[in-house]
Amino acid sequence: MITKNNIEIEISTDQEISSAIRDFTNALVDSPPYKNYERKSEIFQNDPAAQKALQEYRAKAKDLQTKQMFNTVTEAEQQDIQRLWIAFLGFKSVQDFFDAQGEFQALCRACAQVISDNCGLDYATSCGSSCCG
Amino acid sequence: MTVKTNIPEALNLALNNLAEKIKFSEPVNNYQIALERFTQDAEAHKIMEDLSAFQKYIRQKQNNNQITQQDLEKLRSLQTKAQENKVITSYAHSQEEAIGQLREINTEISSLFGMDFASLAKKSSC
Repeated sequence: MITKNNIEIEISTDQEISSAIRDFTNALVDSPPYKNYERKSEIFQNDPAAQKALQEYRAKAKDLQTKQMFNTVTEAEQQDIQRLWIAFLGFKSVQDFFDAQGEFQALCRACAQVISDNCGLDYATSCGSSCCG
Repeated sequence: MTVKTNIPEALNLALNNLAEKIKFSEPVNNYQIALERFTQDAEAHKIMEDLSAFQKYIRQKQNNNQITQQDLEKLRSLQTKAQENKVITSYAHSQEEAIGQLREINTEISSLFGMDFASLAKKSSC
């Protein structure tokens, strides 16, 4: 117990923090956006056509990796990889997965914002995650 | 435009409890006390403002290769002044400790969750 501005403050114990972390994590995985994300992820993983399209895109991206480093990708190659990416995005399972992922990430951001507002430090940045990487 | 995300009630309860526990953890509480002291200390503020303004001036001169020995001496003197100010050092130290605490908490959340929570929570654009 410490005093701040004549108000007695109870300092959290490690045990209380660990327990609050467990409760929060359980509530997060029980939340509808996470459940939806898990479901859509499974559907996407089990969609052979979408997986094939992803593999084709990745194989092309790997082929062009070195060329991209030296900025020597031709217009035709650029169009080719774009075509593969658009084809991949055309699958419903992919769209649904990205939508669910976006919704879940928005929930995580909102949660982190509450923590940031309470402690006066930006949670994601403090933990080494900035918007750029 | 920012879209407000609704946090489900059960999650909101657990989140607010966690946020409260973090707020009143020793490192974060110490940081908030040090921040308040720093905010209210005119001298500490002046030192940091002077240092920050001079660093900006030095960066501009650096681009044109115009930094003099005098500039470097002034920079060192301002840095020393900041390092010798108890309010500033205690603020900087407590901030490091509080960040360390948040990182530990994130490691614990991420290991239970199976994904890096901070990476999921990062803002999507600069």
